[in-house]
Amino acid sequence: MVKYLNAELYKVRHRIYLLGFLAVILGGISALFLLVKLDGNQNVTVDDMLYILGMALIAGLYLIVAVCDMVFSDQYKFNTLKNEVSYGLPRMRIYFGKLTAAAIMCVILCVVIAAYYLLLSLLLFPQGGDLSEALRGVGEQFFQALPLWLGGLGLYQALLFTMKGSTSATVVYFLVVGMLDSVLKLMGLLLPTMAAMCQELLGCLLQTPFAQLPLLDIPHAWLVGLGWLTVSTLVGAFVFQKREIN
Amino acid sequence: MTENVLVTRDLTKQYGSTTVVDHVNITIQKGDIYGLVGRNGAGKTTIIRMAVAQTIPSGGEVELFGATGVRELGQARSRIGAMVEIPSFYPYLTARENLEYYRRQRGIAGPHVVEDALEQVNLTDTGKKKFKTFSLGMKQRLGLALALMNRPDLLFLDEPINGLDPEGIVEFRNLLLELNRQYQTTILISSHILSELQSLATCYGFIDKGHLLEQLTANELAEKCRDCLELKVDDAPKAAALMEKELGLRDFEVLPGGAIRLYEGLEIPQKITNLLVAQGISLYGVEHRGANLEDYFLNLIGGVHHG
Repeated sequence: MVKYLNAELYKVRHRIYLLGFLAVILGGISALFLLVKLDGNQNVTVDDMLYILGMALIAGLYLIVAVCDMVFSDQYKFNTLKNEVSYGLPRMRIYFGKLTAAAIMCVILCVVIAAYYLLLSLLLFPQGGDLSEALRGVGEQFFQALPLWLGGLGLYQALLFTMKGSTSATVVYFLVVGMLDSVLKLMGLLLPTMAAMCQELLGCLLQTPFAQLPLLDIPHAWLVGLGWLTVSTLVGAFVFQKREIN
Repeated sequence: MTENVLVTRDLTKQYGSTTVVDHVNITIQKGDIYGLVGRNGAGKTTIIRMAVAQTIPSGGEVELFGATGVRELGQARSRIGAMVEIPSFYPYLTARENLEYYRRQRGIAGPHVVEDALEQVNLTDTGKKKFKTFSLGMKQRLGLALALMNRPDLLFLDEPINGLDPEGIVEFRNLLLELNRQYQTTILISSHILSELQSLATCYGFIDKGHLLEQLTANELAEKCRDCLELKVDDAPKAAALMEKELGLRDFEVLPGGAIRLYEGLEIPQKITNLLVAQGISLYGVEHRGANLEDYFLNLIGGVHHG
């Protein structure tokens, strides 16, 4: 597995995609800070910027798509999986290798992006209150977001491995993560008899705990996130085990 | 003692109600260059894909280096190299980067493995050129480099000379022969270019509509394809004895149904027929026969199919 991860990380490192992705995200953060600074509001502090960071953590559910795609690399489109299975690499190693590599890349990129954000906050804005307290708050929110991101990662990877192409996998993922909550809410309103069930299902969605931030319900977030990760990984790995590789 | 490298037992593949490979039994021994001959859609690629785990058989089994269990087969596959259909690589990586990726993934040790593999197929000067800009011939060479990188004991090559220029075909043939001679690499090769196959293979498997029609060695094929005079007579044993006694011809075979295949005396057909007729043997036909691999294959599957 170590060799497999080594190879996956080597491949990602040699993709222009990685640098492009980082440039877009860091450029976006820089633009945000520049706008706030140019706006001339003298009351904005580091604490405010960290609060905004906590509120923006749901973006991680969407950024996962780019990171996972970076690792999976359109295997079915380029037919590269045949080079792996022909050599006798167990399919489970391939599945879990790519999942782990994507998780490692997510963590690395998350650290780089968060560090850049924090650095800009400290350089450009005054401290409003107790910095360590603000950092602790953001740390807790990250701790709540982490399992949900992992759940999203597991779901997207399962879709990539089971569906025909990356585009269809991405569409389904965005429907689940971006629209399913609205659909359930609407159903709950239109169909009163199903309202309770819709409410229960809403609680199981990956995006729901983000709506509760900065109120923290860490056990619930871990339960939901690990639940999605486990179920989607089991289904994805099972389907991939039986899949024809062209 | 001969060692079986690949054995398939009743290997079968069905897609829905269509059977594309039907109870195929192939045996390939160490050091063989096995030519798999068949038309498009005959099942050649599917057999190879089942052997290299790209597709799961509907029935039967594959044995590689004596291994048949799932885990053991996985380990055995680390001793193979394969190039199935068009070689596929990451388009945004160079030839070196693509090979380095697979070298790391397979845990192949050695600092010069990638360079050596590229050198073997004459791809050392591709530099920073990405795979997506490669010609078909270059892609084929890179596919071969990947297949050879782990110095395999068994090499699966499916239509490997597609896209190669004439010079590339000669280099490729020499490379395979050298691998086979120097390292006893066993090779299973499928190709439409039968003349090319004939210059390489030491044994053949003929497949049509998913059925393995015949397996034979290159010597057996040469024997069957030899130039000969085929005589159809009413009394074959008597005719054979006469030819031996009167004309000194000994290299012949008597076939069932009154036919004799004569492998010498091809330059004196008139003399032979005169002798037989003079001795009261009824002669129904005389035919000069000879075949190459292509003729033999077409004959085996019942001639050229149209439409």
